[in-house]
Amino acid sequence: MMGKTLYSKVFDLHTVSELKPGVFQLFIGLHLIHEVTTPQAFAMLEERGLGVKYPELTFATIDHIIPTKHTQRPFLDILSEDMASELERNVKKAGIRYFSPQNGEQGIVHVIGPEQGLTQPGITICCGDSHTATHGAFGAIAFGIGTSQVRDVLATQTLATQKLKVRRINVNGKLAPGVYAKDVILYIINKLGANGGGGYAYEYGGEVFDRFTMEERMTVCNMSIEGSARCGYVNPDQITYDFIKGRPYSPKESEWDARLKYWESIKSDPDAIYDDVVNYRAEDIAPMVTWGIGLDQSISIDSKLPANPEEAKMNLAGFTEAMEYMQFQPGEKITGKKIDLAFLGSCTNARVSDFKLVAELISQNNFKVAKGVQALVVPGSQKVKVELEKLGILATLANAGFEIREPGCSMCLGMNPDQLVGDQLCASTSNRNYKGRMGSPTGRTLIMSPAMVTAAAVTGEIQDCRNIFNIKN
Amino acid sequence: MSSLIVNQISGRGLPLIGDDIDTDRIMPARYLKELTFSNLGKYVFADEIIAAEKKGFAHPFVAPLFQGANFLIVNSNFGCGSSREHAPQGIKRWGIDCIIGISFSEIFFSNCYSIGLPCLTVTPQIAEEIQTIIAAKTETQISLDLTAGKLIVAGQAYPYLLDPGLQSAFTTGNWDQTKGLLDNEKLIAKKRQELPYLISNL
Ligand code: SF4
Repeated sequence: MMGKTLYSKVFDLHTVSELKPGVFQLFIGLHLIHEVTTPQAFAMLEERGLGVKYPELTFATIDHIIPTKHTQRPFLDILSEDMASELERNVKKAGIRYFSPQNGEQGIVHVIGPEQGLTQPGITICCGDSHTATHGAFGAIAFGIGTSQVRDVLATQTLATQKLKVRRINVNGKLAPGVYAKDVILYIINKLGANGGGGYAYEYGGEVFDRFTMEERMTVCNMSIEGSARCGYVNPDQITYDFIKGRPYSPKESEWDARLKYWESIKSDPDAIYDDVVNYRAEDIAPMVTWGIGLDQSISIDSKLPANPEEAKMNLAGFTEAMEYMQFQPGEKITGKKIDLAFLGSCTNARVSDFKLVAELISQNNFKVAKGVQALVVPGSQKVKVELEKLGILATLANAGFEIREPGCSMCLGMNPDQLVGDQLCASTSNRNYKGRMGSPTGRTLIMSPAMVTAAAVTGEIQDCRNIFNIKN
Repeated sequence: MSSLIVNQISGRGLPLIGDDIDTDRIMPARYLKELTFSNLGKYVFADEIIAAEKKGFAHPFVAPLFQGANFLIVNSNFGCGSSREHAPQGIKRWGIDCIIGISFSEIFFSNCYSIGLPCLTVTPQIAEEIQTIIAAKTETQISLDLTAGKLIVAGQAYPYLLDPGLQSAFTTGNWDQTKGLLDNEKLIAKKRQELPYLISNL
């Protein structure tokens, strides 16, 4: 028999029926919800007289609209307050577990799943949020859905979906110092294109992923959707199991061995057949920075902006539009561009290890946030914040001039008070550089690793983190 | 269920040129704060409309010539990015009954399907040709017959792709999936019992 991929094993195991040729009814083992994409779903259920089928398999938190500064209720913004109360009303009525700010468990939905031990190998995970692929870092099949599908999952714990093809992406070799997981995924998207993953799940592997921590794997899987792959994952291993152990929702000691057996059984077989395989060398990857309004519009920090559409692998209209929007000139250097804001946060890079690295970098030389730059530190969850406090990291960052905020999506999208103004330029660890993404219709975002954003924060301009922090082989 | 049938659509087109138009552009995040979808038709492309105005031209979604159009013709990777169903909801509520394009992001495509909005895939040449025809003559008639599999623009037939399963779901009014899923209640309960990681939680 031919070997199978993790995707295929987990998909088949969760298939309830084939609704019509090629369309499967898939059981969802874990449903995560937040305030933005669910109120209409609950309303539709009510309209149809339906209840929530398995409320114990749905977990809620609040992240998108929550202010990171004035967090007291009611929120200053009435619409945000309405969204929050609506979520609270819905979860209460349905009996859904809510990780709330009041009990110190709130955070970005993709940070708290793993943190609570809910995210585990071999399960299917859905959320009305395109960055659900983050959970794939644990060897789960996790993908984003729209509100009508949230309704379906609430009502039936299943949804109708097609089976994806699987592309194996190997990154072998050793990453150079100063090159991080964020650079790896930006590099992959650059190579395969923002459109390249359509119809695929991405299975990441190779020596680099074998060595990666869970946080690093999450950073990569998080941005699968930026390459159009609805789902991205890494096969589970000892690093995965060690991370899961001892969390509130991880398997109990008595169940551990049985569960471990299951986790091992769903790994891709050594002779698994893939629909496509691509190979990259870690040594070819340098710190990356996006320069445009799509996630494949990126360069390594030591190269210049593309001089023409051909170099950027774009058509003329798209190239011109991106350059004009960003107010950049073809062929110019990106280093030296003055920034207004530095944002350290989002479901891509707001876990303890991300801020720990930032603190280490600035501590070596007593770096301070550059004059005129606002630098935000937004932990991914309340638990992350508590941990950072304990480690003294928040104090270090605050002393260096970073503004420490409460957990939430913050600058990542323009739904809460943290937004760009006018055409401000922001160096950001988040995942999207789209037009208007950060709340201002003319705001500009450059996506990069936490180390690169830190370099920008302390110099006030885009710089190679390896030079600023003297990161050497 | 007859009101859910999506089969014959006819009307005029609205060309929207550009690849990789993401859902943040289609529906800026600040409009996601409403608890219902009902007003979203008013906010489609809100920021792009203002940006176009500043440059001295009218965005197609507000240009008088395209008001009343019900076919949207786009290029590739339309609807990429955020999973927000608010994007197709807004497009539908603006008045669009069918989207024709080179390629669509999967989540966007599936959201459109979930709300009964067919997305037809055509070749790059055909997408551009239809866009050019409409831009030159905005009153161009477009008609679609999903059962017959016929797309006609200005009297000429164009081939398109739509999964036969989805096609029949539209024409029989079965695109709303909740009922079909609920029908398998017993199988769902069985699956719930079987999954190795859920057993212990029972
Ligand atoms: S941090 Fe950004 S990308 Fe992540 S869930 Fe929040 S808004 Fe979405």
